[in-house]
Amino acid sequence: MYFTVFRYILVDPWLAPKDSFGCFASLPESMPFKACDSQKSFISMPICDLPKSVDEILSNVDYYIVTHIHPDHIDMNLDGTVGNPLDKKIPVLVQNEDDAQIFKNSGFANVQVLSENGLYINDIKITKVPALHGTNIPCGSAMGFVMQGNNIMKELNIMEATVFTSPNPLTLICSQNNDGTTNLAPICFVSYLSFNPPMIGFATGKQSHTGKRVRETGKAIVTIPSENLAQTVMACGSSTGENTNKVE
Amino acid sequence: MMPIQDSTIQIPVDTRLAMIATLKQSLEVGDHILHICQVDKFLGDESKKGLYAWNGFSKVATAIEG
Ligand SMILES: Cc1cc2nc3c(=O)[nH]c(=O)nc-3n(C[C@H](O)[C@H](O)[C@H](O)COP(=O)(O)O)c2cc1C
Repeated sequence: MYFTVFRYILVDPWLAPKDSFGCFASLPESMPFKACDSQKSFISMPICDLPKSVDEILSNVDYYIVTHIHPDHIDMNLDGTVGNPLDKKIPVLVQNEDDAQIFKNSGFANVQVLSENGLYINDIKITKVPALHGTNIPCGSAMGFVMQGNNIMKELNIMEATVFTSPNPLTLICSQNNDGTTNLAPICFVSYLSFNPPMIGFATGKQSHTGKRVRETGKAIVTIPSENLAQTVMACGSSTGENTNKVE
Repeated sequence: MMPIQDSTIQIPVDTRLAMIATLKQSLEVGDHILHICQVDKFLGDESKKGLYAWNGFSKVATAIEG
């Protein structure tokens, strides 16, 4: 068995900066695109900035999918070429031969027409499905697509991984303050380490008051809180016992 | 809170398991410090349902069996 580690499929990669494209009403005659709603003809596009830089968006992309060639789905030039900011070595999936020709004329090396029979990228099947573009007034042909796969694994960071391991073990660690009172802190970085002798380990951030007190006193009571303590646990996790007595 | 024999540290009354521990070693691990402890005594109350951290660490609730 093997797993596909998929990184990115970029769909309709229109990457123009906010407002840079102008509005539909101001397009030259060589671009005969119209907004269906006349009010929308005067909205400057794109209407918002990209969430990340173009370089970040384009890094690690495996495939582009372009559902149709309209200037609000793919960057277009006045000479009819498309996809200027994209890496033209990355494969593109398009809806039909007409769109494929436009991408080829624009310098893209690997253009494939997606069909209703689907195609496989490793073990992921991508299938073209019909799409209705425009509700009252038809706006030209466009495609939808469905992705199917079994062993699809996505790359995660450690915070995302902790969601996948949930529920995670939770302890409420009791340590002794300088004045002899008890301090409480929820700690999830905890594990059994040895049966004989029985040993456990827990990790705290370098600034943790709990960690400091355990290192200073050499003692801790690691407890599993019961259901009545749910609110207390969250409250103890949002303040430090450095200057406050959490038990009071 | 309730006292624990042979310890100066108290624990909450609503506790399912308490591991009374002595620090043996501490070790810097990335941005954390790992505390390795020997457990001197385990005390348990099986009538109490333990809490777990859900959705990463953002919510605490009991675990659903099955
Ligand atoms: C569910 C949960 C799990 C936590 N796990 C840890 C952990 O494993 N290590 C850590 O250093 N802090 C962890 N924290 C954060 C500490 O509990 C928090 O920083 C607390 O204020 C520390 O208190 P103290 O400074 O009195 O020790 C967690 C918080 C919550 C709510």
